[in-house]
Amino acid sequence: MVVKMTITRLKKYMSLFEKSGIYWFCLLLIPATDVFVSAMNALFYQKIINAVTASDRALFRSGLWLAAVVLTVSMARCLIIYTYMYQIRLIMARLRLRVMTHLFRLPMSYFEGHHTADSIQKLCFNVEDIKNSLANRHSQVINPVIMGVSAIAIIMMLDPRIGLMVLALSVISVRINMVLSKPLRDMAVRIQKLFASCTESLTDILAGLDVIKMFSGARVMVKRYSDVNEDAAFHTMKRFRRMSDVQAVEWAFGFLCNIVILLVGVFMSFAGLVDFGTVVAILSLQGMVTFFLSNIGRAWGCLIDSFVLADRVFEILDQPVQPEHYRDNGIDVDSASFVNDCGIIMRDAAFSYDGREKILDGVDITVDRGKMAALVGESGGGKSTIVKLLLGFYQLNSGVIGVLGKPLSCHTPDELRKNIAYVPQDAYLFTTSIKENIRYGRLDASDEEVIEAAKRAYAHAFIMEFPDGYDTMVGERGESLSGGQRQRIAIARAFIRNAPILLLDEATSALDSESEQLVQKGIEALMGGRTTLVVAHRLSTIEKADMIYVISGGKVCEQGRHTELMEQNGVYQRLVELSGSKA
Amino acid sequence: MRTDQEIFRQILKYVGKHRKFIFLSLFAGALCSGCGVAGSELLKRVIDGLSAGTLTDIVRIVLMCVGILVAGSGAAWITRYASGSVATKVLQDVKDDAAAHITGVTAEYMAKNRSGDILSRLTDDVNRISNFVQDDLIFVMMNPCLLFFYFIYMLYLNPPLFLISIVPTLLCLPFGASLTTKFKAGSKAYMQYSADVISSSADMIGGMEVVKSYSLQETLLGDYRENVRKMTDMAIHNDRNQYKGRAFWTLSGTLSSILCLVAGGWFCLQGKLTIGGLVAFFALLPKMVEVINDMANRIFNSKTALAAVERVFEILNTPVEPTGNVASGVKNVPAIEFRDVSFSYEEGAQVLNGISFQVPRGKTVAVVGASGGGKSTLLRLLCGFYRPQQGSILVEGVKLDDWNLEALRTRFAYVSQNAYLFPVSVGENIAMGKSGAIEDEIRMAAEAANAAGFIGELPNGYDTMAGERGSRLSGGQVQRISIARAILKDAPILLLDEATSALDVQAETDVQKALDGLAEGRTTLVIAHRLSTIKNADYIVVIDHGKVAEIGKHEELMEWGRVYPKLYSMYAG
Repeated sequence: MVVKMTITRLKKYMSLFEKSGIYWFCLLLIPATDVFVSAMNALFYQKIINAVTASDRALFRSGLWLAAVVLTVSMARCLIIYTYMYQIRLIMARLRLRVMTHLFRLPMSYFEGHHTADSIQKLCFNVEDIKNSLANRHSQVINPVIMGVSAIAIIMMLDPRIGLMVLALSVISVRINMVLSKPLRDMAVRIQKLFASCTESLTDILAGLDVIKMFSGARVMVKRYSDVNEDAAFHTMKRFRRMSDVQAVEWAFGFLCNIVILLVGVFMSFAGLVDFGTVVAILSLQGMVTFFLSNIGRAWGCLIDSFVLADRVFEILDQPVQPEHYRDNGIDVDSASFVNDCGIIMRDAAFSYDGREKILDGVDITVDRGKMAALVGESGGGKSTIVKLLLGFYQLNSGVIGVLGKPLSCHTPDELRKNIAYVPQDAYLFTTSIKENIRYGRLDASDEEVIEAAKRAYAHAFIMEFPDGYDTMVGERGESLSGGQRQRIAIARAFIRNAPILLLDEATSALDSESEQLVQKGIEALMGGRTTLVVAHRLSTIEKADMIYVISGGKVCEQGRHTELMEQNGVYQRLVELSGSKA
Repeated sequence: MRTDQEIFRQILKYVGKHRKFIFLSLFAGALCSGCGVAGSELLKRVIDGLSAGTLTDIVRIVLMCVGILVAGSGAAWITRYASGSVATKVLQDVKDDAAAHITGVTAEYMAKNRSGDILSRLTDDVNRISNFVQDDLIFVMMNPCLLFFYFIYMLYLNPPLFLISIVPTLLCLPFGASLTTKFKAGSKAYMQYSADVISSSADMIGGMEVVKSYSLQETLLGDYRENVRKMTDMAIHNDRNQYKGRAFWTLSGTLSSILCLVAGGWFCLQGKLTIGGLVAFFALLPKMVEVINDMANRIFNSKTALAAVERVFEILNTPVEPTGNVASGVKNVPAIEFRDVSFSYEEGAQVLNGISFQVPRGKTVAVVGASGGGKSTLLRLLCGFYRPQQGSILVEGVKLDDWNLEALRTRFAYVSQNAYLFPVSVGENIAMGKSGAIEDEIRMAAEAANAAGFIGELPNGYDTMAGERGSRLSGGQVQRISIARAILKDAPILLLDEATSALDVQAETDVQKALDGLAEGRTTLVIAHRLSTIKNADYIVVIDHGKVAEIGKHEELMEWGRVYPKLYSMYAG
């Protein structure tokens, strides 16, 4: 089980490196170069020292050639590292795109279930962590292995007796290191989580800044943040204590190894068992063994860290994407009687977000082509859910939805949405120009068409009042515009879409009277000739509806035209009376 | 633009609080290097002793080894632990300070900076501060100590050899340094740009509903691809400078060991140096070069880190909202008075243009006017979020500039158009109205806000969590919870902004009831849309094009008003 998991993990991890052979080549070439340089260095030392002890000037001069080689290859190494980094940058660019592409393909339920900051954390900061893995953690694993193994091999060739001692010390050191480093991984995960909740807490503070300013009691949120912060600090310190243990043991082993080899080597050379130059050469390679010893223990942790960090990004990449087609819920498409004039049809629709609490429970709705239907009812009754279902954000648990004479299962999400212009309750604008925001309705629209749409949405006049006109940048979340202005831009966006179906969600609320009139006029123009479904609050809208569905408790409890419903003396009549003060 | 010294000073202020750890790690670092020197000296004595045949006391050598071993590993432990402690504590302090600071920063600053950018500074960059302290700052301080011992010992062994070995390293320094400057500028630009990319990604993810319903995925992905490409180009350009610089350091390290051995060997051949001395010197040389190279690398890194530090401190150094020191108002004057107030968010786009009116104590004044006419701005000015460019605002007879901001805000219960709930429990959200509120008070406030009924029906009652931006509660419910919060605050002046919109009919009735409870007996300034509110107001202030067009009661204005009857017909329409 554990092994299997590791293999899938590894496979996923390797998917980061498609088409990046050069990365691996450089990753291996760098320590190989280091080994080569060190071996040349060792030979150079051996020659020089032996030349000095034997007073052999010819040997001394031949050593100088080796020095030239060392110098040249060292410089070439910088170029290799640059190439390596270059590859990492390319891999990162690809990963960033991959994550973003995947995010765009995820179903809406993902975004409603996850804090936006969580996605950002993964898309931006955890991806950055992977960069650190590629640039540092991998080499921290590979370099000690390659360099340590080759250094030991060369030492063994130079003198097998000393080589064996080095090896024995290595094994003991690695064991102790691994035992000590083991808890580090869990500690890192825990600290990461605490940092993430710090970020979330901070996001909340930023979002509710006005409340914090106005209600001194809300400072509690800042306190909450600093509590998490303190907790994170506490665990970080705990981790440092453990890392210090590792560090101390490493130092001790490094020194032990150094001194033992040295003393034994010196005594052996004076006993005539080995020449002194060889001892110094081994001494020069011993640095690589120490490096091996002090890093191999940490290497395992590094490797695990990079998996853990990658896992956080894979949490997004592993999310199932929105299916290309919608389920047919066992209903035979051919025999389902979808009349061609039906703009929108919902039959026996049942739906719940979590599989337990039913939001819709057998809803039947029909909107003929070119007609306008209104959904009314108390909030939380399922009206917005109907709109989301029609947009294909969710799938029905049972029942069927038809749009333009075809069941949803015959549409791909994009095909479906191409036929729909959606004006959400909260007119979301992107941080770009007004022109682009409108053009997002139909990307190939010309500037003239954008202006035309704005005119029809009664937005042209106020847009022209801005110094930059249509090129005015919309502030973060469109906050520099008033609510009515934002809605009119959203309406213009729907206009330019020119889709046969219009879905409106409480679009006329949150405005003052003058704005509301303009928005209302815009919407009326927009409705002209389109199949429209409105989540309605305004009596004026409702009165004009061809059909009104009163939604309550996930069911259609009353339906009919305004005048008919008023006569029924039911839920609808009560709702209208309540709103009387407004009309 | 702040200089490195200033940033450095600010960092040192934080580090200084934990200076005992710094001293500890410096001491331990020095001990470490002492152990290194002692190892070399031991080596020299063994070699020279053996070649002279005078080496006798093996036990003493073994004891020295043990001593060095114990001292060295102890010092290594302390170095790591102390540096980690400082870094962790500094990170904690900076984060705490930044969060506390951000709550006092002016609304102008928040409006100018995207929250994604601020977030990235306070999460990503702030971590780099801790890395900077832990990996760079401490070592930059410690390394000179290490070098000091090495230098002394090497000079003692053979001064000419020391000079020959260290000269190439010193020659390469200026080249490395000049590339460092370029690198720093590049990494700052890179970080700023990647913060922008984060912001725009947040934008896309936040608006996913629109993205999907308009099939914008491909286009936005194209934009993102372009951003990533530019980011990558910038990074690669920066890497180039970094590795060019590194080439110089490699050169210096390699040259010095070669020169050392060639020159040292030559000295030995001439009998100016013992073989033990050469080996001891040569054993220590890589350690010294490592320290010098390490310093160089850290200078590179610290440049990146300094850029990050600068970005974090920029937030810590933004001016906070100005505050006066008057903590209570005057009696027997109007609760609120606007005197010739003019205001614009940005130059050239005047929002308010000489507004004057009063709100007498205990009265309800309704403000009406076209959308975008600056009505909400009036409330934002009153709360001290923004300051008028001209004129003055008096609250209970005291000028806004003279008020202690915190005291001023205790005078207001502000119910805004967009009620915000924190993602904590419903009860906790209400309790924010009053520090240390007890459960009964929370319940009474909820009762008064007409919210107790639906809260009782929630799965966990008052302990139910309000989701992100209150998403699991309906608009009307969120509003009523925010009204309960305002009721609990029990402030004398009520500021109400279009609070009844964005709701369906039933919810609106519920909210209205709650508001009636809140308004009772309080001075009320309301941005009104409902006919009943307007009709019941003691005065109506009609705002038109940033000016007060007319003031009066409903009947009066209907009779002689110029703007009002037209507005009224729209309200009633």
